[in-house]
Amino acid sequence: MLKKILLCFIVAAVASAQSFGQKKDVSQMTRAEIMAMSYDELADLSIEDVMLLTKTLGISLDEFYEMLLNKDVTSASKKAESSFDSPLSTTVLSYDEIIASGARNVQEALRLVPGLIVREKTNGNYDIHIRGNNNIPDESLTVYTENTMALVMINSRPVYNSINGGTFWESLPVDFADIDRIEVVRGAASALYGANAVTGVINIITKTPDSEDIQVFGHAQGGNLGSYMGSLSVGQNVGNFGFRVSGNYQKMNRTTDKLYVFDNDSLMDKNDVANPDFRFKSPASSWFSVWNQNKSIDDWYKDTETAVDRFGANLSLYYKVSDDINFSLSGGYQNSYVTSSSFGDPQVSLSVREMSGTYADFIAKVKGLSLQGNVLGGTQDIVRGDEGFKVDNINININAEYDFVFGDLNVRPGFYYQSAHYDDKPYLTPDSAGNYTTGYLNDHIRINSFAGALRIDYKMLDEKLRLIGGLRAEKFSVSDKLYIPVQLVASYNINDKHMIRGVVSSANRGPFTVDTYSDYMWNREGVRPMPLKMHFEGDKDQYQAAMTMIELGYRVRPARNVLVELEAFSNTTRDFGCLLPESMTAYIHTDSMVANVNLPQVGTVFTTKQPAPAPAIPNQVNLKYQNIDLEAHQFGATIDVEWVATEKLLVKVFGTFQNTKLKDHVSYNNSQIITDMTTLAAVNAQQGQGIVGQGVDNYFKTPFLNGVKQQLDAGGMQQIEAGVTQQILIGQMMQAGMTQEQALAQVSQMVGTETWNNVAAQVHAMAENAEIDAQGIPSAIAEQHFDADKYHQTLQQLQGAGLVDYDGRYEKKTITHKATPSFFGGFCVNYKPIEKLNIYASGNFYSKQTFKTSNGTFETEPKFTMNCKVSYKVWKDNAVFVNARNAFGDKKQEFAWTDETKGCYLVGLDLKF
Amino acid sequence: MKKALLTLLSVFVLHGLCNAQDDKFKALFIYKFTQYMEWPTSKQTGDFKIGVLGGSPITNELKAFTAKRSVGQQKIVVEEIMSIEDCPKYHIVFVPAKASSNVGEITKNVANKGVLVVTDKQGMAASMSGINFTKVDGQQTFEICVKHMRDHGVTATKSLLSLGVVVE
Repeated sequence: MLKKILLCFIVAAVASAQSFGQKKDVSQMTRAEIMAMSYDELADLSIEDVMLLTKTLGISLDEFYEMLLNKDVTSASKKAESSFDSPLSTTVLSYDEIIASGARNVQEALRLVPGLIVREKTNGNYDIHIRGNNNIPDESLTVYTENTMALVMINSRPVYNSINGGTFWESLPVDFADIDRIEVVRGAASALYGANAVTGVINIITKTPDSEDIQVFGHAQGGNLGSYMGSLSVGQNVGNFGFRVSGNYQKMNRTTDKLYVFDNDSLMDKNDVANPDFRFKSPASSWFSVWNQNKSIDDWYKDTETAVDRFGANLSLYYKVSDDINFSLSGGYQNSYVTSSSFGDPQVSLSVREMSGTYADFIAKVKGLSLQGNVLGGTQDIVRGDEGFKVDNINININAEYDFVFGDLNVRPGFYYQSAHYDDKPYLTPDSAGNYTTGYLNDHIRINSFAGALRIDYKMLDEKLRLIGGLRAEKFSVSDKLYIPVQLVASYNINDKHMIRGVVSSANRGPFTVDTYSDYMWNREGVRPMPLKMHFEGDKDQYQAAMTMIELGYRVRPARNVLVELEAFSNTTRDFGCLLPESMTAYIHTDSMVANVNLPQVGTVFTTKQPAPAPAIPNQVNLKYQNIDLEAHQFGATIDVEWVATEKLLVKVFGTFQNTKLKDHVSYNNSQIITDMTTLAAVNAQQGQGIVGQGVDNYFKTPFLNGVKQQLDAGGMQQIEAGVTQQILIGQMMQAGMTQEQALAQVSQMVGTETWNNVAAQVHAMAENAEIDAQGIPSAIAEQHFDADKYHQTLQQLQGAGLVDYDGRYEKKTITHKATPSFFGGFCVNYKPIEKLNIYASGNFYSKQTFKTSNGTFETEPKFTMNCKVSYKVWKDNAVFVNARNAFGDKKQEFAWTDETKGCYLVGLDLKF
Repeated sequence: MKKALLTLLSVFVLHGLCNAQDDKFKALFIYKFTQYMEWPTSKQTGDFKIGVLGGSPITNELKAFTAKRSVGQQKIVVEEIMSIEDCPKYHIVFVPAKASSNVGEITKNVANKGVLVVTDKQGMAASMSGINFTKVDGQQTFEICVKHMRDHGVTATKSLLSLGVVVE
C-alpha cells in the first residue's frame, strides 16, 4: 500500500514537474498562443508578464496593420515596394483575402478591387473593365463590349488574345491554389507594360515555395447550379532547387438552359430555335429561318446548360543561387469550355468558346538583369460550331530589362519582342479551286512587335520626393506607325502618414488580327435577309486606340489601422476602331422577276412574272475595320478606405464615381447605314448616277420560287397539267389536218374521255418531274460609298425635299455615355470572432447602365450583390466552410442579353499546410 | 439599397463586438493593479470593490478575471457605479474614455478615501487620475501619477512604478 502511495506521489510529482517545465516563457509566445489563453491563465500571470504579452500583441498589431494595409507590390515599379509608396493607383489582393472572400474564380475575386467593374454574363463568366470605357463604340457588334484595353498577365506574361483583343479569362491555366496575390494597376501604363495597358494592368503573381517542408494549398467547393470546383498545389524547396505542381478544375452551370433570341426577344429551347419553321418576325424576312439551317445547333452547343467547364495543370521549377540570382521555368496546359456572350453575330445572344493551350515561361533574374521568355500555343474556337472562328495560335514574348542603380537614381532600360501567330486554315473547307474563303483570316497571320523602353526613377529630398519618367517606342509589323507612350509620375511622401502623387501618361492598344487582317466573305444568300453578301476587311493602317490620362492621388494613414486612398482621374481616348460599311453594290430593279415551269420533253409550260418589290436591293456590302472620330472623355474619382478595426475585424469600403462623355458621337448602326446606303443608291440611280453595270438580283428568287411552288401545290399545277394536256391534243389534231379553231372546239368536248385521260396521265407523269426555275430581277448595279458627314448633308437635303424621313442620326454630337455606371463600388468585412472562425461578407454595387449594340438597347438596373463565406478551422489552417454568392438571389441581369443571376450556395474546404 | 444599408449597419454592430481585445487586457491590468497597490487599513476589510462608471464592456471582462478571486482575504466584487457620490466606497474606480468628463468630480469625491482612480484618456494621469491607460508604439501600457494616488489615499508599489510610465 505504501509503495502504491509512493508511486502515485512520484507520478504526480513528475507530472507536476513536467507541467511546470512546459510552462511557456511568455516572451516567446506567439500572438495566436496569447489569444488562445483563458481568463484564468492570464489572471495568474504577473503584471510583468502581462506587460510582455502586450508588447508582443502591440508589435504584432503593427505588423498586422502593415500586412493588411501596406502590402508589397511589384507591378507599379517592376520591383518590390510597399503599396503605400506605390507611385501609381495600385491594389493588391492577397491570397488570404481571396480565399477568405469565397470567390469562385479569379474573375469574381476582382470584385474586391476598387475601380473595377465586374459584371456576370453567365454563371462564373464575367465582363471585367478597369474604370470603364466599355461598350465603345456603341451600337456595334457585341464583341465591342469586350475589354480590349486592359492588360492581364500571369507573372508578367501577357495573356492578352491578339485575335479579337481582350482576355479569355477562362483560358488562364492557374487558379487560387497557384496564386500568391493579384496586383491591379489602374490607369494608362503602356510606357511600363507596352500595348494594351490602356486602362490598366492586372498581374496575377503565383506562389513560389519558401520552405523545405512540403507546402500544400488546396480548395474545393460544391453547391447548387451544378457547381463544383477545386484547385490544389504542392510545392517544396530542396536545397537551391524548388518545385510547385498544381491542378485545377471548375464546372458551373447556367441559371437556365434556354437561349435568348434577339428577333423573338425571349428565351427559347435550343430545338425550338433551330426549328426551320421558326422564322424572322419581319414580314420582309419572314421566309428565312432564324437559325441558319446550314449550321447544326448541336455543333454550337454540347449542351445549353454548361456555363463553365475548365481545367488547368501547371508545373514550376525554381533554382535560386542567391537572393539576386534566381531562375524559374513554368509550364502548363489548360482546356476550357464556356457559354458566354457571343463574339460572332448570331441570332442568339450566347455562344460557346472552347479553348486549349500549352505554355512555357522562363524567368531569370541575375543581379539587375531581368529576362523573361515565354510561349503559348493552342487552339481557340471563339464561336464553337461556326466555321471561320476557330484558329490555332502561338504567342511568343521575349523581354529583357536591366536595373541600373546609381544612388537614388534608378535607370531601367528594356527591350521587348512579341510575335502573335494565328492560323484558321486548318479548320476551313477550301472551295473547289482550293482557295480558302470561309474564314476571317484564311491564312496564317503574324503580328510582330518590337519595343524599347526606358524608365528613370529618381528619389530626392531624403527620398520623400520621387520622380519617374517612362518612355517606350513600339513598332508593330502591321504598319509603319511607331507608338510612343509616355508616363510621368511624381510622388511626395509628406511623412509616413501622407503621400500625394500625380501621373500624366499615354497608352495605346496593340493591333489584333481581326481588325487588321480580316478577309471574310459572308454569303447570306438563302439564309439571311439582304444584303446577299457581306465582306469584312481589316485595315493594317488604322491607328490603335490610345488614351491620355491625368491622375492625382492621395494616400493617408489617419491612424495606424486606417488607410484611405483617393484617386482622381481624367482621361481622353481616341482612335477607336469600328467595323463599318465602307461601300456597297445595290441592284436597281429595271424589270419584273420571272418563274418558269418546265416539263421534260415539253419545255416551258408556264411562265409567271411579278413586279420588283423594291426600288433597290443591297447586293454586297463591304465592311471595313476603320478609325472613327469618336472621343471618350472620362473623369472620375475612386475612394478606398481600409480599416483594421481590431485584429478580428477588417473593413474595406470603396467606390468610384465617373462620368464619360462621347464627343463626335454618331449613331453608327450598321443596319441603318446599309438601309441609308440603299436608299441613296436608288435616289442617285434615278438621276443616272452611280450605275456601274447591269446584273440580275437573285435576292427575291428563293422566296419568289417558294411562293410559286406553293401556288402550284395549291392547285396551280393541276391547271397547268390540264392546259398542257389540251395543248398536246390540239397539236395532235392540227397535225392530223384540223385547223386550230376546229381542234380547239373538238378538244373542249374531249375532257374526261379515254383519250383525254391517257394524255393527261402522261402529262401528270411528266409534271412529277417538272422543274421550276425562277429568274432574278433584271437590274442596274449601282455603287455607293458611306461617308457619315456627306450622308448627314444629303439626307438633310432629301428630308427638305420631302423624300426621306431623317432624324439627324449622322450628326456628330456630344452625349453622355451610359454603359459605364456612374457609380460602382463595394465593401468587405472580415470578422474573426474566435481564432478558428472567420466570417467574410462582401458586397458590390453599381448604378444603372445602358448597353447599346447592333442588337439594340439594353438597360441594367442598379444592383447590389451580397456574398458571404463562413469558414471554421478544424485543424491548424485547414478549414471547412459554407459560402453564399449572390446570397439574396438577386435575379437582375448584369450584362446585356445574358443570363439572369441566381444565388449560388456552396460548401467546401480550404487546405493549407 | 435597403440591403446595402442593412449590411453597413451590420458592419457597425460587428465593430461594437470587436473592441473586446483591448478591453480584455485593460481589465486584466486593473485586476493586476490590485496586487501592486496598498490601500489604507480602513479598506482592508469587507469586499474588495471595483467600480466601473457607466456601461462598459470592461465590466464583464473584469468579472471574468476576478470571479472567485480575492485580494488578501477580501472577495473581489465588480459593480457598475450608479452615482458619482458612491465612488468613495470602491477600492478602484475605472472611468472609461466616454465618461472622462466626470473625472474631475470623481477625484474631488475620493480625496483621501483610499480609491485608485483609473482612466482611459490621453493626459488624464497628468491632470487628475492615479493611473491612465495609454498605448506606446501600439503596446498597451499605463501612466502613473504618484501625487494623484497620494491625494486619493492609495500607494503604488515600487514594482508597479517601474513598469508604468510615471508622470508628474
